[in-house]
Amino acid sequence: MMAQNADQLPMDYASLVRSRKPSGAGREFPAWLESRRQNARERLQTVGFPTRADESWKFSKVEPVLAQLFSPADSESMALPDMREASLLASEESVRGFFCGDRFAGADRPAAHLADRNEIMPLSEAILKKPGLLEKYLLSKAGVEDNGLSCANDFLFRDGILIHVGKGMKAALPLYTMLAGGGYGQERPAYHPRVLVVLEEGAEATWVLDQRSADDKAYFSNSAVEIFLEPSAHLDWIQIRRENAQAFNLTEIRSCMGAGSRLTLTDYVRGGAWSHLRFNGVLSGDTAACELRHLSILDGDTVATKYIFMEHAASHCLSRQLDKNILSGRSISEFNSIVHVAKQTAGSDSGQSNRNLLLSPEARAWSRPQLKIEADDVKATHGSATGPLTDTELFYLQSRGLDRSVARSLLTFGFAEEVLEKVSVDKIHQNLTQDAQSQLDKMLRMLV
Amino acid sequence: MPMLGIQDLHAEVAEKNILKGITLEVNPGEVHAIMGPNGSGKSTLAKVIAGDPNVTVSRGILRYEGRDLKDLDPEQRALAGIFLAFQYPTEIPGVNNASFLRMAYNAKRKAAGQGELDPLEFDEVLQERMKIVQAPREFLDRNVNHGFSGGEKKRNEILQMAVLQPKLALLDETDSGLDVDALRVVADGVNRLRSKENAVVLVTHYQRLLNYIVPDRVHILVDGRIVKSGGKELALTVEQKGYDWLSVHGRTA
Repeated sequence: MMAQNADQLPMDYASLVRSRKPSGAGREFPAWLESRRQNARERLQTVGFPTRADESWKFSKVEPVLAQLFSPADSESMALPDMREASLLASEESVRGFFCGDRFAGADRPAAHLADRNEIMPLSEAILKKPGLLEKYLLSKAGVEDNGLSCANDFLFRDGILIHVGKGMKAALPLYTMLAGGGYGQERPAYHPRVLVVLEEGAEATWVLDQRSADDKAYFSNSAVEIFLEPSAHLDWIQIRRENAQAFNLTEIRSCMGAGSRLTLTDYVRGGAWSHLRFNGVLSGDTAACELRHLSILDGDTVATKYIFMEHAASHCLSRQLDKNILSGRSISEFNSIVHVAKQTAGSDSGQSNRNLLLSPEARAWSRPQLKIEADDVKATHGSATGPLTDTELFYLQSRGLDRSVARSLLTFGFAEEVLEKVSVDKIHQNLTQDAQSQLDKMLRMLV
Repeated sequence: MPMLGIQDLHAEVAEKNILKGITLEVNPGEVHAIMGPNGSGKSTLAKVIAGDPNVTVSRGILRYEGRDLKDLDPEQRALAGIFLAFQYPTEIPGVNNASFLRMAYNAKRKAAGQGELDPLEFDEVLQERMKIVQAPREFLDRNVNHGFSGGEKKRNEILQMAVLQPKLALLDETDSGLDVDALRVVADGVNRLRSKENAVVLVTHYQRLLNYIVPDRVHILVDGRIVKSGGKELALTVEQKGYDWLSVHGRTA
């Protein structure tokens, strides 16, 4: 990986981060965490910030982002709006936690569930209340697929949220986390929120992560999500990324999936200036399963890219990826996904499918599904298709009496719905369906 | 005036001449079978009538109920009563089959100046039409043709036909991919939808479908031209002798 020459870019995010020491040293964090943070800072000096020369960042356009004049936010002085009103789930139908930038802005749970052993609390509180749990998991996978931006989160995060579901417990209600980025009165702040999800053996939960903008100002959210599924745990995760046209969002996910566990992620992206999702998943126990579904609806100059590394490290594991993007304007998407099947595993089953619908000749979709197979007994499929709606598809609907604009709208929405229909929480499904419908209608009207 | 009047029709696909002078008349109440070897232009003939944008008419007359079809978009042709059961129906992931059928049904009602049906009202119509073609209830919960087997797709096409009740039904190799039982069900459905007012054009490679849907006229298409027309017995002759004995302009096809 090439390091960026930070000295020639004074005041940019990269050089500011390079020169920064871990914040709040010795005051908020215990020694083990302080040491991990310091270690992350040292790794950053070694690995440097990503450049396009790095295959896994090739089309992400990360260099312009790093050159932006973002500076780590002064979260203490932020005036926090109450985001509860904007919540997608009401207080009686979910267990909720709110973040503004990377500052904890409150949590609540329905009175009927106060006795639940399912914990949702800020990391700053968890460090005091659950030191053993945090020491076991927090930043424990740091160093895996390192890059300067993940290191930056590792040593600059000041708070975040812990989701912990105890052994054999089933979270009766969806867990809801809002990460609201925004200017909050600051000039181009950068946030480093962190989420730790631990599902103990046999635990089950549905988790909604709602990443959004609290205002229309420029900001950079460099977030990290660590997920640990112990044997037979099941996490159904819905992630929504809807941000303003000046928002930059990096979401770095590391997920470790134990024997018989199952992770499903349904990821929805609409808007934003730049977003990049990095998913590093390790199916570490036999018969673990992971299903990733993604839908982007992009217009203007939006860039939304993904890098996925799915490691089949044990036998009889299953992974599925369905990645769909609808692009208009000069927007860009990338599906860069590697499935690695390790030696001495048997019965791996993986599938990668990427479909891109181009509504404009200037839009670009890069598709790079890749397989690295070191075992013999493997079932692996991958496929990719990119293009506009075809006359053949449109003709089929027209031949049933629907006019061309209705046919186009139906096909475009149907393209999106294949992902949306997987959203398991009805109210979220309705919200996203309406959101997608209204955005697609707007995009299609502009084509006429 | 015939329902469908075609004279000296020439048509191209990707700048290649496929239809090279077709003349054909279809009247209300009639069933016509178009047979011919692979690549003879059978499907192109069905598609050009339905308005497939991949097929360009280069010459000739194509009229339906006296109107020049070349002036009509595919949806206008559909609303005027033309229906094409596709050889390869398009899969539409994310669009529910029942909703799609209602949209198509309502589009037709709207064009006829009638009010649209809500989902409950439409369900009554649907139940009745599903019986005609013995379509399984689960078809309705699935997305249009998505994940359907070849045979299921064909049955779904006939269900659409039953819902839309066209005046002119064009069935493009609806028999291919069907086993004998499914073929009989589909054929029964088509027969039950026949009336004095509507007409059917069957495009088929094999004679077996014609055991179930008995045609009034059979036309053999070879290299873009109708080389022979006759009654239903012509299909049996083809079954026995193949297509090679039929020649076009001195050439054997």
